[in-house]
Amino acid sequence: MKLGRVKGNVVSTIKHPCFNNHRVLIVQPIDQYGNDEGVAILSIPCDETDAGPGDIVIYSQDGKSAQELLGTKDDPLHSVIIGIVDKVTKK
Amino acid sequence: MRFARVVGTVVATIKDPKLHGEKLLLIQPLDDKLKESGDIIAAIDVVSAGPGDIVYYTLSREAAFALKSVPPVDAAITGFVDTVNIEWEKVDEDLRKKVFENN
Repeated sequence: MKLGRVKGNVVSTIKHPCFNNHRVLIVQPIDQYGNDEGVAILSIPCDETDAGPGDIVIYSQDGKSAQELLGTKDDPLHSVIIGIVDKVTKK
Repeated sequence: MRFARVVGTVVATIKDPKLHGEKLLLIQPLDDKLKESGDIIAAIDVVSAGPGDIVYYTLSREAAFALKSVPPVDAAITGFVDTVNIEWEKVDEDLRKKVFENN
């Protein structure tokens, strides 16, 4: 899992059915200080997190968890936002 | 998933039987400013995209589930991009301080 911040979202009408009623968000990976690091990817927030633009989040790039949280095991889902970050403290 | 632009097509007559009848496209991965970022790859197409279209694609094993036949592929175009809304070009500085400060 990685830390990221939601930059915005993507509007898409023609897509694989499993993406229907899911929001596709643009997530910029960030480092441990909150600075941008790497190329932005697209991810889908799971219902519980309901992340939106501006939030600092944790996202996973593992298909299994994306499929379980967002759809069925037969869906081409790969990345899922699994949490909104309140605080990061390094000991 | 990542943004990409369709830059060409791939024709392969001899291939895995599960790929028969499926379209193979060449796509150029893009970053969120739709600038080229990364190597051109081949991907199966389930939304009938054409050259020049901006799409997003799924990577790794899960891409194979874009097709019922679950072919041995690791990239599949899974959607057209109509609009890209970037609301937070820069990080929300106050939020960043609140979350990361005193490190």
